[in-house]
Amino acid sequence: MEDVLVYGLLRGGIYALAAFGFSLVLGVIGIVNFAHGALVVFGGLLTQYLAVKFGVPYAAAMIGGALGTGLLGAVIQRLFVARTFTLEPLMVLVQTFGIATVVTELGTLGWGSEERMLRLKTGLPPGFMLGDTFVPSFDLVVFAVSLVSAAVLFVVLGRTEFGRAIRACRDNRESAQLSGINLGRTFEKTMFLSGTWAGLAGAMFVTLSPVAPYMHFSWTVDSFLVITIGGLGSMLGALVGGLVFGVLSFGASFYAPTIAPAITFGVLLVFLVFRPQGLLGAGPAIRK
Amino acid sequence: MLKVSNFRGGYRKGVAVVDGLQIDLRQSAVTSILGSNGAGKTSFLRGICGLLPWRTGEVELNGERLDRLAPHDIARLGVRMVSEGRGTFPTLTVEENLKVGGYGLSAPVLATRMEREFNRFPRLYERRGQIAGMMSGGEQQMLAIARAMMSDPRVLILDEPSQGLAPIIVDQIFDLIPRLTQEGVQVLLVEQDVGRGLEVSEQAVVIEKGRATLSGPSRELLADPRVRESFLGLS
Amino acid sequence: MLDRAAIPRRPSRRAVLKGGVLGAGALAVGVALPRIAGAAGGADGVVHIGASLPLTGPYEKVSRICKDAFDFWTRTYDGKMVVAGRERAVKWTIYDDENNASRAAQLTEKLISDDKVDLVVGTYGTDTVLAQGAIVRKHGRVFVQAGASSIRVDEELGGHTAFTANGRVGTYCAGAMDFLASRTPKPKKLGLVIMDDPVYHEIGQGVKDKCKQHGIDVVTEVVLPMNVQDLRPTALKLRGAGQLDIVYNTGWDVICIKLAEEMSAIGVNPKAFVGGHLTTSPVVKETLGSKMQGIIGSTVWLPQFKYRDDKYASAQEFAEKFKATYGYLPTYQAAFSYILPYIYQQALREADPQDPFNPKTLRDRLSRLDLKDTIWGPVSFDERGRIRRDAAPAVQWTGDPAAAVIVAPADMAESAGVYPKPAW
Ligand SMILES: Nc1ncnc2c1ncn2[C@@H]1O[C@H](COP(=O)(O)OP(=O)(O)OP(=O)(O)O)[C@@H](O)[C@H]1O
Ligand SMILES: [Mg+2]
Repeated sequence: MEDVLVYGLLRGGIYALAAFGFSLVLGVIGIVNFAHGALVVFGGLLTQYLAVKFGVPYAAAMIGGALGTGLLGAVIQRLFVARTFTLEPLMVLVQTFGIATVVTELGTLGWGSEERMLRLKTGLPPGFMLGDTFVPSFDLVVFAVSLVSAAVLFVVLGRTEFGRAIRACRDNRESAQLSGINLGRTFEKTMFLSGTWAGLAGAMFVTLSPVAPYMHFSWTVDSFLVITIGGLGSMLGALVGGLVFGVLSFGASFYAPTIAPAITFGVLLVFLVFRPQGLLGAGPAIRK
Repeated sequence: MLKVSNFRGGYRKGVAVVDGLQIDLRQSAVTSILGSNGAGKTSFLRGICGLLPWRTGEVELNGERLDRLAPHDIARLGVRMVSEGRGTFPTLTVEENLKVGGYGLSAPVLATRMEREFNRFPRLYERRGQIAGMMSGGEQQMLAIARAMMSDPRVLILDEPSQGLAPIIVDQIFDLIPRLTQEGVQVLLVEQDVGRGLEVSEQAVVIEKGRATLSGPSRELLADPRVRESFLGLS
Repeated sequence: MLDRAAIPRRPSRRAVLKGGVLGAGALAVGVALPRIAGAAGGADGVVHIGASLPLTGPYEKVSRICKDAFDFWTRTYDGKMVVAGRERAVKWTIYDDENNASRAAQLTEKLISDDKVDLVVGTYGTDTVLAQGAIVRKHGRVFVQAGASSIRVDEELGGHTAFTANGRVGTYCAGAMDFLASRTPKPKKLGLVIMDDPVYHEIGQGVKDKCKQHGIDVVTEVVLPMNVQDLRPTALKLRGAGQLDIVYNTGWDVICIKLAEEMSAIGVNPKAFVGGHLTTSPVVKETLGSKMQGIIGSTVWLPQFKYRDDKYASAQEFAEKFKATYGYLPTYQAAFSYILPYIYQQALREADPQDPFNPKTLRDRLSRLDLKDTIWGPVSFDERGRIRRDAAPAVQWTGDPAAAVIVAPADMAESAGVYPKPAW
């Protein structure tokens, strides 16, 4: 019981990390980005590539992987999404789905379809006991990085002019433009942030478990589940949602592995029916 | 300073909601645009700010052409609009709303400007940490005006600032307009209350179905029987 | 069929497009081709072999290997096959069944009725092979296949329609389990991880049968959905079962990797870990690195196996020639695809010149076939048309860097093996 909780929370950190960008893009640009999972996977593979191919130290490879993914996100926004998003929302959906396919195919061409993992020698002890639960050190490192980077994201969004501009665009696009904010640039920056954090999630995850291009969709779906639980448009919601989803999916896989997916989706439905705004979602009063 | 000529624009290609309007703000500190519902007043203002899907004609600010520019560039050059319905950022606090109004300014300048706006609207200072979505209509209107003023605009466009507000608040806002002009800003005002709109302004334009039907000094229009009949309910 | 999950590994829009093009092409060929092999019996001196493979979709990569292996056989024999004492040119017709059962049935019907092929070889994948078999059976014909090893093939098609050159998946564990049962101290407790799909349950059943035979307790059994992502819960389950002697994974290579990673992360240290039938995939060793030490895998074929045939002095030589031609080492799928036309060749060598492809006599000949030396090992079929194989050999990774050596069966073993394995 206790170990299920601990391991679930540890996983939850990465789910939250992956979901931040998904939530941000949905809230600010107003699109469900089906290519989000592809960005997570891209970040993981890019990090692995930098570390293995060029011998870059992990911390640098991770930052490179994250920023590279952010850049890819911004390019996707400028070249594709920006051109269609004023049209039918459905078209953007189809488009991001197509982008996911293209990114995945290109990733497969470049890196192959094999699963890759980045093996780290940290010099840390293998782990320690937390009560009766053995906590692997590196899991904890990943969890800490998740929380710290979440804090960085909170500061960027909450305390900087850039973050204010992003939130202003989310709240009211026209008013933001009338205040001198360049909407297109802000969306690109939003996609950059989203991609960077998605890439960071992938960069962390690739040290824990193998990653391959074909895995992108489950990341998109998981991100979706996380923000449904945590609440749309709130970064704190994504964090809490990620942790709750981590425990939920871990518990389901532990206690009833064969029907685990049914359980997680069941909880999603319950949330949609009884608490559509999620645990921490903005109430209707200040919804646009 | 602001001069608009031959302005046409609309939402769908070939359908002009604004059809050949001119205004010249150089003659007056406050200019009103009058017209019944759906006449095209808001559309015209949006057109000036670059927010209409299509537009033609010239918009000049101190000789500089604005009509090809994107909305954020127009805003940066000093044309600020307070939209119909205010358009505050509901999840941002009062302070944050003001800071967005001063987007691009350095921190010390932001601080002095914010202090100035808080002096202008002490109510906003009291509520500075509050998120805008939780504020009353009157407070939001003040916030919207203060936000626009943060950038020291050359032209302030107000689209129906009295809409949905209690009479006492409306009085405050109309008292405010002449004071704003003393700071060197020119005001372009759309107002449903035509009487008030004309009283506060020096020049006015009456538009119908996107075209100007009357224009001239507000004082003369106030006396014009057509205006008295159709807008003021007098004969 | 046992490669990884049955889930498409990539969205298959491209696969659909390509499939469409290929399908249309195949149709055109079907219409345009004069009935070359019209007269059954190949009076014109041609042996026409028909096949379909899932050339697009999840099994794209494996299909390529199978196709290359067919081609390699053809090259090895200069494009000729001796049938009824006479050398005839070999002609292949291979369609893309997109891993779709009804498409496979349709294409098999076309191969038999329109293309009038003399011989049919099976595709890759359980459902598609079963669908193919139904059509072959309808025509009263027989076929040789290796792409489906499930017991369902024996039940539905065995003994009359299908001859299956691959051992039952239930026997995959046998080499490894026999090896482990002979260790001291004798292992007593086993944890079993089964993927929730009939084929994997069949493998798992094989493990349980072996446990019963050797008096080993299956103390925990974790059944996982095919799309499982996180193996930490499974590792935790295994840890909850107390000190295990053996952990046996029925799943594919990625499951093996994730399971090893998670067991090692939370300190689950069984005395033996059997990674399953795809432990030999290069990705496993590349990913697990030094954790590969002591891991056991089962494998139906490796170039090290001491097999030979009339053209290759060893499986190694076969593998090297294959690599020289196609640029990669042949996998077991390459070996079992190579063996399909080879089996026909051996069965038909002395067929009746009047009616060499007569299904009834072909069936008899295949049943009686008894080949000692082939690249695939000894080949003979039981009454269900299944190759006589009761155990897949087991390999274990030892040394640094870890290399796979055969540890079972005894007559093939290159090393005595290690037990218990070093901790992760
Ligand atoms: N977003 C839009 N898309 C299409 N047509 C629009 C849009 N907004 C306004 N219109 C149309 O343009 C015309 C002018 O509308 P506009 O809002 O400019 O009038 P207004 O004078 O501001 O009216 P009111 O006094 O009610 O605010 C109307 O016919 C309206 O239906
Ligand atoms: Mg209006």
